[in-house]
Amino acid sequence: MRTIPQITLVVVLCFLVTDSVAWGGPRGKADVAPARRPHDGLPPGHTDHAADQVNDYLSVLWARESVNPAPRIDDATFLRRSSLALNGIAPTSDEVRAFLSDESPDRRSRKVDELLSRSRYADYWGFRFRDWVTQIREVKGQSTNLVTLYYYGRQAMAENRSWAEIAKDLLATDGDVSQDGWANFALYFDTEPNEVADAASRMFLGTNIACAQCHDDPYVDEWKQESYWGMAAFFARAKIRMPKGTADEYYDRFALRLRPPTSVSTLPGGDAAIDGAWGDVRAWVQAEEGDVKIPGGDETQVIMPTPLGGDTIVDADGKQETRRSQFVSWIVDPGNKLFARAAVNRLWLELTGLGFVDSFDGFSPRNSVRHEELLDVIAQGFAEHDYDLKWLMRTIVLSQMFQLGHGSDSGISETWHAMPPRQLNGDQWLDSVVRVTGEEQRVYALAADVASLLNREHEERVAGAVPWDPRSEQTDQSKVPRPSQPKAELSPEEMRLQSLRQDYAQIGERVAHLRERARVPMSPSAEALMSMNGEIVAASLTRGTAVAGISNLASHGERVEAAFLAVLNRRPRDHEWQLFPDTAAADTTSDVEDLLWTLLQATEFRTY
Amino acid sequence: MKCEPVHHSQHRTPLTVSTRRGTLKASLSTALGLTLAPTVASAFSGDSEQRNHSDKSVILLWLEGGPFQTDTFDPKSSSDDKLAYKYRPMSTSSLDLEIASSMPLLAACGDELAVIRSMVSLEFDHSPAQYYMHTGWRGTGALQAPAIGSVVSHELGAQAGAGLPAFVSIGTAGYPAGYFGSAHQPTIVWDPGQPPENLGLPKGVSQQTLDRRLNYLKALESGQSAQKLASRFRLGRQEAVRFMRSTHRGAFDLALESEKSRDGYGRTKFGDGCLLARRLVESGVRFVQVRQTGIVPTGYDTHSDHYRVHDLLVQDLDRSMSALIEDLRLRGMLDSTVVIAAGEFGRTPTINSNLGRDHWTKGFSVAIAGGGFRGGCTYGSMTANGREIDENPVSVPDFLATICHAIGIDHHKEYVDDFDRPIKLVDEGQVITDILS
Repeated sequence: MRTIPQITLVVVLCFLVTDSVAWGGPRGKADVAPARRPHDGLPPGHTDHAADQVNDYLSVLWARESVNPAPRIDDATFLRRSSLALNGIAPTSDEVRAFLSDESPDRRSRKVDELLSRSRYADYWGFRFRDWVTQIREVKGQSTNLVTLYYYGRQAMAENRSWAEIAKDLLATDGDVSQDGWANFALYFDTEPNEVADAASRMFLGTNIACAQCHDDPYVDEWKQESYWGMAAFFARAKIRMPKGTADEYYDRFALRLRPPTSVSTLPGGDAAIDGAWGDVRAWVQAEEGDVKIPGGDETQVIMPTPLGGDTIVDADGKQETRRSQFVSWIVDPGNKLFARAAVNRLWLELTGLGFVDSFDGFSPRNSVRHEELLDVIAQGFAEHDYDLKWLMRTIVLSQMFQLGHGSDSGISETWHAMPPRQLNGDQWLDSVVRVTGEEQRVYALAADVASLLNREHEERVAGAVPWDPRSEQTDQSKVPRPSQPKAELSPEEMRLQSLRQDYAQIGERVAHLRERARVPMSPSAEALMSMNGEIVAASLTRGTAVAGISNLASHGERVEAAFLAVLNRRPRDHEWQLFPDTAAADTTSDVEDLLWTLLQATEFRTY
Repeated sequence: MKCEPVHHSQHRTPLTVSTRRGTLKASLSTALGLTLAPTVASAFSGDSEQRNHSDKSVILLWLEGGPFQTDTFDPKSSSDDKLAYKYRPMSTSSLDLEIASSMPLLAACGDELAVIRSMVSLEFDHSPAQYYMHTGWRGTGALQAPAIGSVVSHELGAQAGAGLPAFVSIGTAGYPAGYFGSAHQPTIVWDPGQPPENLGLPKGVSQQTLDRRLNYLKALESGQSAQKLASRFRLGRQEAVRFMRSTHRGAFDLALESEKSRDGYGRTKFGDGCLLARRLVESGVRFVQVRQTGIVPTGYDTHSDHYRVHDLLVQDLDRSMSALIEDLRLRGMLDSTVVIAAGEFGRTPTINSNLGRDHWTKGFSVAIAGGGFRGGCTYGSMTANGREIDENPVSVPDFLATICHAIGIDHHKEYVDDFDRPIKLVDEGQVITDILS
């Protein structure tokens, strides 16, 4: 593993502040990432046909099973739940107030459309997308660039790239991981044909065939060891390519096209605050040769590409399409129902905590699928909408199921008559804390301030750099000029900006570290320690603007209400007004810190 | 990754032990990227799991990057320029053991050291090799295997009444707890001079402030239904507060050691980590891993400039590890504490053009002291040119099985993983009884 040289950090910073300016200040520009396709052809706010299909199915199910569905959640709860689910962050208190005073009948569906069109949507689902890849295997392949993998995911989500296109990018498209994030998929799995096929099956077909790597699957007759290696053969003709010279030379001399073209970060710390390793410069490209054989098996027997459960493609190398493209054509073929089913199940799990099978890769001939009839209806709709992820999310969130109150009896995983309470994941927790405490606003203000400086440095750097094209022959680095180091006399104003930039860079680095920590599985006590004493809560409370803002309110009642709206996104209930003593005369700031800290520890804040 | 013949036990139905979590919940939480622990009580509070009884503890000195076996525990003499060995074999306090002359202080502990010289790894890159060395499984994604520290945490828990975590990791976030769940992740100490992560109150927050806030919280949450997550949070908080206020917290405080003791361990990050490890084990922590960091960020991974970098690390190791063994011996703790020095693989016998040594998986060394291991012995050997194993190859599962056996864990024990498969704690490992006393 390597550390990224200083010069690269500068480039990253340039991107990040450019972003923040484009994004435009503390409250955010809502429509940076428009959906590429219309959702369903219906006018905004119209009841969604697919959501109706879900509702109809559930009504029949509940009647048949004689279960009473949990009550429909109120508007405040809906806003919080849908914001956390779709944007990975709690709403602001202004947003809560506005939503609670909105009396239009279609306010929920309009809110969902708004959430789906925000930058935050892409910021958050970029992380989810990256997790979908990295959860497949605990060991990360050497040279994987987790930062560009995130950028790719975010960009794909921002432009609402079709899930089929994403499959094509990841599985059949050449690229250099330092700039083409999709190429990290193959690198993450060491570009080993069997590992890539195995991962692709789990990611896109929701099916785990790993057992058959070493022996016929003991539970599933159809999954022979040969089936596994037949899948692997699709990825035998691709290889790693690297530029001449060392990675350090590369970073010195080449521009990194780090920022995706349209998606910009609204995360605290901007693009510099993406956790994860940077990796090396490596490309995954088509190879002329390459075959797989069963290890320890017949050394003379070359295994040809064979779709799972299908016929061997004997002339795979005589076709126009590469083996990898043939794989993609097979998985996205409308006849291959698993592709859409797996995506529907994955998002159902993501958004409701309940699934048609219990894990993203739980489809197997040995497992039964619950509510298969409904799954097929939604999967078909998803396919008809060109595998539109936003369409799918909208359908789920607008369905009655997503809007059920909490319940936790064991039956709900079968009959779906309540929503299981769920713990915020690391991203949801961290971003919500930063927002609630007002730290978010402070960071963005800082970013806007130093933007001009970083823009200039970025332009100077890009002007002197040349990209490496992994698809052509290796670039001769001796002909590439080193970028000149821009050096000029600094005015007092520029010196001020330099120092602000350092603050900003530090925040970015810190947030990235804290995000990484928040994502690590922890024991309940380690979680409690992080929540009570950890830097993100403590520092955000001290530095953020929320404490001061709330302290300045005139009355105790207003302060309590503002704190509840900010943290729990609802007004206090009757008995809650009295829980916090009114000692305003003594020390309002300390009271408000206590109040916010306490609400941040509450189960209600940590779940949704 | 290359496929190896099937090692794990054939899947069959009768199971001896089952995990504490249902498969549904486990796979759900996996799918959602959540971190739901299998049960509310954690390892840390001594929950109701059936535990083995053992008075043994483990300190793993984790030599990340892969140290060069010939410069440490498998010394060789050769005048071959391609090998370019800097050190010579040196006799130790045991007549039966020589180690490299780079480690004169450890030579004085020779009668406590059991050295395996024929370790074989199946993984050639750091990340998979580290995973393999800690779990005994190759990280193919087919199984979420627990690392040895989590295994010990799960099987033995902390020593009774300690009020401290079972598993502490110093200088590294450690390796995954796999199917044992997040409760068996280590408590992390990033810097041995500082308390564990988030244990101290933030600046400007007093004990009284915390108490006041916790009272507000109690009032806010009183009368709420006993939702599962709510009780997870509540118990986690209670445990956290107990830990913060534990009288044993001093175990984490190196300032309570004498100057002489601190000097003895070398006062480097690693030396401090070793000293902290002793304090923790003394107070009941069951498994401590100390990553050797501080001097060189890339650790033992000396692809270039081997002689200079490796020497710095080995000097650090020599001083700190010898101080640790000696200290444990003087305190009468060595018999109950297994001290292991290991990295993920070794380094090439031949020197490369950058005066570096590259990864070497086909024969590397691990040294173990105390805890019932036989001092002054070696197991397995390499040929004179350092390239082939001469006798008694030891696999990573063999190594882990031997550690488990020595501390009273049945490594044949089976668990059911998230896919309902019976998985042995250590698969196919053979205990190397020759190095046990």
